[in-house]
Amino acid sequence: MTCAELDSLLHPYLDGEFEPHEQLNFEQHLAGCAECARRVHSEMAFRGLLRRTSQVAAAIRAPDSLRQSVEAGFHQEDRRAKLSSWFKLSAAAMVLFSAGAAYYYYRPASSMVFIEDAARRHAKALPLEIQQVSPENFEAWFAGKLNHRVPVPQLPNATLAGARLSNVHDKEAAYIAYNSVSYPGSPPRRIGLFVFDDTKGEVPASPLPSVALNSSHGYNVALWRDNDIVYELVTDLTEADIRQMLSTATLEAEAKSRTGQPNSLIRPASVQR
Amino acid sequence: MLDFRRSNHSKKEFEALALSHLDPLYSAALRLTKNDRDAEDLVQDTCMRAFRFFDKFERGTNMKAWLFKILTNTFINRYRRKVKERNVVEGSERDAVHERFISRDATDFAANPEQYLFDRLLSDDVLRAIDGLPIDFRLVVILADLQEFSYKEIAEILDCPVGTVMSRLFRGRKLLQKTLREYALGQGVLNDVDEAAPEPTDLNKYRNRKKTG
Repeated sequence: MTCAELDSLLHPYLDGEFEPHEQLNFEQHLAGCAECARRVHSEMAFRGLLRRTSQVAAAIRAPDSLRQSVEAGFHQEDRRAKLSSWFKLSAAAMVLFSAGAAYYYYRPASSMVFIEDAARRHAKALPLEIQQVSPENFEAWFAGKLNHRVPVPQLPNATLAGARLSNVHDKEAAYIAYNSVSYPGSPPRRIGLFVFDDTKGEVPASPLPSVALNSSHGYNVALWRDNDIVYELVTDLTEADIRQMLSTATLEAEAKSRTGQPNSLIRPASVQR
Repeated sequence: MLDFRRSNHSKKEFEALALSHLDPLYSAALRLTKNDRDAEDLVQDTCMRAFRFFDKFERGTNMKAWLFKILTNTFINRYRRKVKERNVVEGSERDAVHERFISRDATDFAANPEQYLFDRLLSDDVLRAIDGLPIDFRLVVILADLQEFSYKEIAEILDCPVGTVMSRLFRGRKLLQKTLREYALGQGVLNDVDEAAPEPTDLNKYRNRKKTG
């Protein structure tokens, strides 16, 4: 065995893969060659060092904060998964339910200011401050910018286009833009959803399934509330389309309240996670 | 998919099992990203992706390897751009280790430098040296020497042939030795893997050669 050969066979030797006669051959060379003996000892010492290091690496513990945030993440993903299951369920029953939802027309003078302002702002099509990211990123973007949490609902047959900060009358609001799915011959329609806090109860809006439908500036405006949070949906979609869209959300809200689970599609700002 | 009571139970099982591997995931993430904040982000991303790909995991198979596959893919795709690749040993680190060496008995060290060298190095030195390896070598060294996966498992994790794993490991360890020697001797810039270093011999090839003489 030559020194060069030995050097390339260090691993099988040290891993104990040699037959006894091969091992003997190897060790005979070592006995007569100080240089190779030194190399083998060095390699053994290196392996010992690696072993010690792997023990150190194995002793490293993930910080508690990480463990907690992973658990929280799983919890959130769990609920998100359940939500999409309910959506699939509700799509099938949607036709039945839209008859049951209570829609009404509502025009007291005082409420019109909120409706008109929302419609006017939506009409302006102001530039979006954040675009083309996932719903979670929208929610994260809004975090801290308004004094309430902004849930970003997924609307059926519509895609999220972007968001910006806005106002409705004197109230700071989140504005979330969607594009409705287009059909041949009809272009995609813009949908704007204003979300704002109305703790004082100044806006005459009712909880789902009751939705107030109005029109202003050539747009349809749907108005409803979830505890302290008021939603205004402004769009040039037809009334029928709006009803269909909101029926799904209605069913979701109903289903959640029936099973006693918190409604996570449209959540009140006061509920803590 | 409407009956999610049953899948809920297996999802809970999955979550518990995934959490049981959190420590090694974090340990490896530290070596890859080289700072604890990015390591936490990487592990968080990995776990969330694992949850979403939950359906693709075969119950009863090797979850640790499956999670590490997601970890390495996530790292390569998202974090690698952020992480500075350090192939050069930083001056102050090198000096710190060298200090420890020159304080030893000078004659002893001079007479048998190689023999005592690895015995005197600390695990922290090795971890730091691993952190300085080029990413291809670093991945295999982390998986083989720190996480103790088998060659076959590593091949699955990195989606490459076992032969490639062995070759990268051999060269990665050689490079690691070289770095550590340089730490000890207080030398400077680390070069590429020594091309003159022998490749690992296939034991079968060696045996065949001996037969044919």
